[in-house]
Amino acid sequence: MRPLKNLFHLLRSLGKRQTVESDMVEEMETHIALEAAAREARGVPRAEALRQARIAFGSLESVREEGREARGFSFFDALSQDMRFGLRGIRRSPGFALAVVLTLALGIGANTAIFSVVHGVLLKELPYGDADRIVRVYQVPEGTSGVAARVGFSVQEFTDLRSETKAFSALAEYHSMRFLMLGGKEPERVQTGVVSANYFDVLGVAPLHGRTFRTGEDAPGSEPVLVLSYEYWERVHGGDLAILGKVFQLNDHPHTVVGILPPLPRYPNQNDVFMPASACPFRARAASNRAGRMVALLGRLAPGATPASAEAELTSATGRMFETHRDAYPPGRGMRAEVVPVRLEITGGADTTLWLLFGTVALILLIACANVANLMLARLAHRAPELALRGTVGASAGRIVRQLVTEATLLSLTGGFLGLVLAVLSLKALRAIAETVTPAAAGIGLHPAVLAFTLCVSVLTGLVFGGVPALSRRQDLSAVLQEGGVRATPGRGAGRLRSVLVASQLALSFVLVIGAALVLRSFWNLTHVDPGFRTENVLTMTLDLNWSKYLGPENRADQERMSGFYQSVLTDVRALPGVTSAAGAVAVPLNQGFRFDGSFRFAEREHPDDVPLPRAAIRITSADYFATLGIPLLSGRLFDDRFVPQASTEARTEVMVNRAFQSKYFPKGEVLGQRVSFDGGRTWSHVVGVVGDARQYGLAESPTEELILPFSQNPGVSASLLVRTPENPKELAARVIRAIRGRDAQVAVVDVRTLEDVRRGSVATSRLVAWLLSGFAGLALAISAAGIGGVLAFHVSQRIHEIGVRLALGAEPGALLRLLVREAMAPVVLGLVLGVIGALAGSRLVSGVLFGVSATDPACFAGSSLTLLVVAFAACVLPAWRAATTPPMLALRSS
Amino acid sequence: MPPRSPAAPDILQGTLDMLVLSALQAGAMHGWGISQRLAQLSDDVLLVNQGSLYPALYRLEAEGWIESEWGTSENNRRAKFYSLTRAGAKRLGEETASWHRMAHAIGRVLQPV
Repeated sequence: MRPLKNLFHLLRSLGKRQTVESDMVEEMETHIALEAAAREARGVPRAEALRQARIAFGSLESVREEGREARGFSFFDALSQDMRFGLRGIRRSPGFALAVVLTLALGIGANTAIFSVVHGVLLKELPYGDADRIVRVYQVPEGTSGVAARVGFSVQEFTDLRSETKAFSALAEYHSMRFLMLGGKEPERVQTGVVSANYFDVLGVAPLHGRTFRTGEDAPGSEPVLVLSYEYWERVHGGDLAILGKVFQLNDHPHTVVGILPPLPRYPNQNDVFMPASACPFRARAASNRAGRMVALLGRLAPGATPASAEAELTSATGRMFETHRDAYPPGRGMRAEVVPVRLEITGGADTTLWLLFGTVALILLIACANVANLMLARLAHRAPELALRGTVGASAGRIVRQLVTEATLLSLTGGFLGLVLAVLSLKALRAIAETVTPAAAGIGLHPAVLAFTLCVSVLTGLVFGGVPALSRRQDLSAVLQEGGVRATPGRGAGRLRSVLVASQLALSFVLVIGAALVLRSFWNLTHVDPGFRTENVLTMTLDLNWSKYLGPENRADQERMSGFYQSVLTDVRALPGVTSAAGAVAVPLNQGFRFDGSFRFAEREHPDDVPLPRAAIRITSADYFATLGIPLLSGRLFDDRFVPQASTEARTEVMVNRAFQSKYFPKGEVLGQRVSFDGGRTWSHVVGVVGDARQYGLAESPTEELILPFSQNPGVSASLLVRTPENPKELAARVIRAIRGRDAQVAVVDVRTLEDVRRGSVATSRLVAWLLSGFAGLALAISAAGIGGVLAFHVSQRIHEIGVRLALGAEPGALLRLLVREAMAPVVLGLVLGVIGALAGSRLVSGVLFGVSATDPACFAGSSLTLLVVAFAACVLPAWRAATTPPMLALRSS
Repeated sequence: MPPRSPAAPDILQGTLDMLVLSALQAGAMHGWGISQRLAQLSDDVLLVNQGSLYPALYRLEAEGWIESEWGTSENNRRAKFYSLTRAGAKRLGEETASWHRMAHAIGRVLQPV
């Protein structure tokens, strides 16, 4: 009732504010005139009567202010007035305003940026229907555990489970393959998700345009159809709807485009297009092999089922299958099922990192707030007379607090806006970082929730850093005026609070600085490590064959024809002008994704059944790989690089090893001439040479033991070409591609890069993390420095009178300077000690991401401490020096 | 310079509201008239500052207990005349009754028989 009425009055009075205001003035003037007339009638002279009437009335301003408040429209009125005052205050001290806005822009910007990632990856709904019911199904051999032990299912297993289990309302299969899309200007490689027809029903995904797969479209012999991913449709076809109904040649089959998907997480992989399971020749071939576990399973839990109950049911079902089809599986133990919610799969790798980052930036903002509050306090000390005056002419205490808070909020909103701009600029880099930990990074953006977050944070920040100093301000305003502004030394309590603020700010800054120092050092090590090969002047590219053309009997890959193709391409490329050497390999170096380890046995050693066979990384290269990359041949000779049919078991095949292999297995003896077997002793390969160690799988990975097999014997449908040239490698690319197409026009050539680019790309994430952390650390350092300097300046301004007295009594400026600096540095040193303790305690957390530097590296700790000390010292020397060198008379008078 | 705020405004505010309403029972009156009447009725005890009357008037108007109209004063100036509304009269009745009850109770406490 009452609030409604107030609101009504407020709205009415807002409409006629000017009239109300002038009415009020007129009414009061009438009152005073009447009072004066009454007094004059009693015989008081006219002028005196008017004076007495004014006194009797009391402060006009104060009455009017109270009157405004009583009318209930004062809030908006006061707000606009506060804003005017605020803007005036800001214009009067632009330096202060700039410092505050920049500090807050950085603080709020960092928060907005990280929140946009947290929101996009962790908080936003997955674009699946009822995502919490969707699970990924794995199986793991009994007695093992961990992500590495997980395997998929064979097509036959999937068919059995689909009909036997009750825990799922639907179960879908998935695998991903590269196909060649032909018919365009150039053969194009498309990553293809090969799925059962119900796959998108399991995910609960509706098509953006057209349709997804119909029931039965995954049955053998059905019309091949294609559904495009949103990204592929946008990137390659520019979002053209005319694509629906078009026919594309994928390897040897025509496929009709029937639908386009909405944007989805890159899970389980990033796919350009999707096709039904029946259209994949590899799957058709593997379908006869019960032990060929090539598909992943995704399921939608039936009502009432839980991941645990599904796991139990699947485990007993796989156990039964293992018993029933014993002879179809290699000897070994049975399998256990693992059922994992897809939400966990998609965000599981990211959540701790992201919340940690979010915590860090929240702390940065807190520091920034504490700091700006300190600056505010310092400025308030200067403005005390102004505010006191405002109080005596009628502003209530609440009104003054409100004015200060309004001023602060104006600043924080400006800072927030700038912060938003910073966040937008950093969005791309953030997405790149997030991509390394989650498939859902594409969802990161400036959504309304993020904007709302920024607005809330900005306003809250203003309330905090404006409200705290305003409330802690001395309330006895008239005392300030009466005492003529002589201020005592500031209270001990407030001083201690400020010291605690400085110390905690320093402690946190130290943690950030040492973190950045370690990551930078680690990054430097990473870029300066000797990879064991020469990266300059090498061109690399990846070739994808139309493998349908290289199939032999029983749909098996025809190794001899593939090998022949690669050999002829290599011969042609070597003949090109400007080519020093050219090599083929299954993968380019520094490619973690292509690591493949295999177990083997030595002919001359015992390998008891209960001891696991030794394992080594298997690398497949041509003989000129070593010359092309500058990897030295240490002993023996290069292997014979000609194709030998696998069928001839007595054929002599040759392998090479690296130095790490030799040191591990033959530290004293001779590795040359040893025979190794990868197939349980059916065929043997002779070790003919030893080459130098190279960091094949990433600059941070120490070289592992390697067995190197001839490329000619083991060609794949996809392979890499490495070409050394004295020229700029990029200029060679077009000629090399022409040479390839000259031998087979249906080859997709992708990832055409120099090896130097590959090397730089392999540390891109480390570089981004290093820059990001350094940025945060620099930010914290700058904020802290401003804070220390600001606190000291405030401290000094409070004590300028005392300082003046000291100087007048003959205190030496040098001694005074030392005193002031010592006082200011005490919380700094305390904060530093706390920071070192905190960093040591947290060192275990970062040791995993460091390369070539210990998380407790003394040099880094010393350097960071020194940096912080120097910055803090520099920040407080200036105000202290200014105070200590003030002429005493000036200091005394300035109070 | 006089003290800024009237003494003990919280205690007196309710009382002042009641007195204003009571003064207006006699008919429409402008601000100065009300202040004269209050001074006269209370033997100059109340209203240290005449100005402090106005916030009370605006508050009462906002509550709907009094209404105002522009008119001409004795000295031919434009003045705002306040008068009691029906709700104001009712309110005054309630306030007066409760005041009497309280005054009676306080009197009994202070002068035990």
